[in-house]
Amino acid sequence: MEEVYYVETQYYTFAHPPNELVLESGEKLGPITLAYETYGELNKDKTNAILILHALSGDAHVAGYHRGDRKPGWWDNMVGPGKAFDTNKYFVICSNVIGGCKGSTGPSSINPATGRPYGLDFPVITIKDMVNAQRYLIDYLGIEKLLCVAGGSMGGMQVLQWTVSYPERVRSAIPIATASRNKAMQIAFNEVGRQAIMSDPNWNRGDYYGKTPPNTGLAIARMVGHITYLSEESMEYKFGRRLRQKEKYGYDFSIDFEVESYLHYQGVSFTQRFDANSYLYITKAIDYFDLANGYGSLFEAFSNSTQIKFLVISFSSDWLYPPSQSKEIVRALEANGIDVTYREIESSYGHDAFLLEAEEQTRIISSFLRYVYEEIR
Amino acid sequence: MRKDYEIIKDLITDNSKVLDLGCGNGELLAYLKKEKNIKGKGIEINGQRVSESIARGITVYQGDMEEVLPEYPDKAYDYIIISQTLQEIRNPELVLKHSLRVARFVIVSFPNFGHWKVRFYILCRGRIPPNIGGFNYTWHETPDVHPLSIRDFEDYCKERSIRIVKAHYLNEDREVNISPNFFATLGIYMITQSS
Repeated sequence: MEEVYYVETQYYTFAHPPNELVLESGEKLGPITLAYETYGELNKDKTNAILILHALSGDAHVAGYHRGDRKPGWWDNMVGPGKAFDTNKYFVICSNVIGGCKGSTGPSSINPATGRPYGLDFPVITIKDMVNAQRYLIDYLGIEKLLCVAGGSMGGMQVLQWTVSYPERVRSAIPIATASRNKAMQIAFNEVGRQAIMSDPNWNRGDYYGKTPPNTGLAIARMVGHITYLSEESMEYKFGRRLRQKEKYGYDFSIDFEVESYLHYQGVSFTQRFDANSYLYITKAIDYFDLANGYGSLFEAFSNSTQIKFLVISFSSDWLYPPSQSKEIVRALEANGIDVTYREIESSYGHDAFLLEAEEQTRIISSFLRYVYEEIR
Repeated sequence: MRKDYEIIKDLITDNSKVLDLGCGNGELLAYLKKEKNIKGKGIEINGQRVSESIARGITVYQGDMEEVLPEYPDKAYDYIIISQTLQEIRNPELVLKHSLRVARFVIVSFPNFGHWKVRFYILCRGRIPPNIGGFNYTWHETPDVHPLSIRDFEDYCKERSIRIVKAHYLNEDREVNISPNFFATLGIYMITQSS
């Protein structure tokens, strides 16, 4: 029987005025609080720290249990004692992104200037801004160089941004199911989600705190998003044309099919745990993401990252961030002579595979980390 | 260690940069890393074998060598190894051409389909022998889409002005010196197009 691993969220506040964080947009944000969790122990030399970056709807609670909770953190199958990110060996850190709604400063936080939630007064943030904020946390924890930065989807974008913004602070990087820039189709899906939220009358230009939030819009945004996380094959396997609690068609517009019921459930339950404005801000950050921006090309963006060891992972059925976009990253790294391993895992789970394909990921990530860690000891 | 791996090890210099095309489970690269302190990289299309390579600490790219090799810059590697893979490649011409461009030396080994047992099997039985290259594949299972003999390969090199720097012929684990195209089961070459 596996021992239950309890963990508590911690908070670090910085960038107090007049030393606010200057954002990519030129606007300033401060003070900033980051919610974070740590697992395992930092060794004496502080060389065993791994930073895990979460995706769109994730949070700092990557693994283990909060007291009283029935469900563990979002990547509990990968992070913990004896797992891929082995907390018996490594010190694992995960923080909620700025713009989020899980304890870090975001649009639902109180704006010190007004004493009310920011709403749309919250500045637009980027992936680079998220990473810059995380760097303050890593400084605060006294870690000079991270053994590894790892994450999937938007987490993978932050991984890549770390290797470009702070190459001297990173020994190895594991970007999973991700891309070096958001392309038209990816932006398109995000825009549908945003429009669903903004067309909900309860959205009220982002000013809904203390009133009824735009739950209908947020639920629809989540439904669209969720479709992109699955694959044609996995949906066919999971739902097919099965009817929901009925023998024959209803000939009306209530729920007929299992897949409809599933999406409704996903949408509604998401509104219980996520803030609609955070959804707008974070999807915008994803859309703005283009690692080559300001460097001329992706190749040049990585030109200072030559000492970092990479493990790039993609999944065969992921059509949201397909293997071709991972290969673009690999090519640019290889052209710089950077040590990069590329693995395309065969899976039918679509984009969600990075959360579900634990066995194969564990096999390669634990080996990769072991060799990276051995090299410095 | 396998005799062909030992020969390959002796062909390369210490601390060199090596690319193994079709690196399989990474055994050869791991061996060269240990014995010669090489900086190695593999290309392998089979995902399970890629994972085995990663477990050995090998840097590996999962994909099709015919797709990525043309994109590699000139002389990016000291050696490219094509170990018992040449006969399985869809377009060996393209792979050899780019290998000679990307590496200073290319080490090629392949099972010799000119071996006397193959010749007699076809002559006497009129069938394709099932154990060419040491595997028991029938004609419809074999991955060997381009079987070749030692004479085929040496003629090929002559036609393309590819210089054979070194040649080794093996019959199982023993070196063969007389009539290799008749007696050797495996040919191992180091070739180059550099002057």
